[in-house]
Amino acid sequence: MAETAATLGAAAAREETVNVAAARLGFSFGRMFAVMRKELRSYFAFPLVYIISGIFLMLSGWYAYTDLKFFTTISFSKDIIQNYWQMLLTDIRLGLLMTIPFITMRQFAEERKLGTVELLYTYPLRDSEILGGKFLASTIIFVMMLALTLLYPAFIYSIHSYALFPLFAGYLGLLLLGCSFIAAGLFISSLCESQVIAGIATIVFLFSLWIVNWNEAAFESNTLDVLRMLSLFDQFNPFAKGVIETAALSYFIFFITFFLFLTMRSMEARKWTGRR
Amino acid sequence: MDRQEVGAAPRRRGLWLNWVIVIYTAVALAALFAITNLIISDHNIRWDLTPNKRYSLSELTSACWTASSSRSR
Repeated sequence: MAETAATLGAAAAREETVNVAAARLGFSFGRMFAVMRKELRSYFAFPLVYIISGIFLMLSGWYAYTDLKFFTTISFSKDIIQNYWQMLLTDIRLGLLMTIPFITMRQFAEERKLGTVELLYTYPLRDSEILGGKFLASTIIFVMMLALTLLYPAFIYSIHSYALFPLFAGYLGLLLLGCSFIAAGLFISSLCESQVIAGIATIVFLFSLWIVNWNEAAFESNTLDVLRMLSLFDQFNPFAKGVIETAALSYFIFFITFFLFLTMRSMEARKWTGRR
Repeated sequence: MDRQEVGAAPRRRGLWLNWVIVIYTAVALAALFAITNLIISDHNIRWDLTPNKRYSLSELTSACWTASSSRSR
């Protein structure tokens, strides 16, 4: 009996040593994917993701139909398809603004509320692996939602063929815009205790980035240039037109990196602020 | 001396310093990204993927533009 207890104790000690050693190792994609799988499982276990995807597809379907109706009945021009994509992609970004915050809101805020975040932090995982896993899980959900909207272009292509490259640029822009929303949403979720507050705060923040340069007459040209640079939605416009610009690409990449960096700092702050 | 007082003073100072470091690094990173983005904007490369190059100047217009800008200098 005593021998069995000693063996079990030795095994537990060995496991603990392995865990500590794993934590001391560098960044591991395997551990990050494990967090991602855990997040995806918890996403699909609750109806929220299905409801959010349904609302997004309903919105984008409505936009696809009404925009097509507009171009076929009122507007006639040479590049009707190109104008249609530009209008549709610009409308879909509003759908993203209304739905993505509800995907990211639960990431940290709900775990903190339920107390499972402490459990997560006690695993032999680096903060970057936890953050990477959560970011990837949200991105996969978003990509799945976005992929379903490809049915509209596919349907129109089956009726009348058109150039696919401008559409590719538009979807690349939507992907970057969605990832930017996710990065900002994760940061705000890491600051909040309540997921509802996290969701609303993310919408308000993203909305403010949209309306920042609405009233162009109110600002000097230099100020307006700076505000245009800040506006996340203005950076998306070239992609919607079918143009890829390195300045817009770098803006989105920097935006995502900056907010992931802030989320990392927010996660690390628990070590010296004492909060969960 | 009370044990709690000894422990509390350095912690308060540490907390303040940590906040300064976080804010400083965030502002520094934002500034770095803004400057890099400005540089990239100045050397912007565009790929116009529309079939008839709708958002690009024609070769003739580009040549006239380059000539007039060099003359104005």
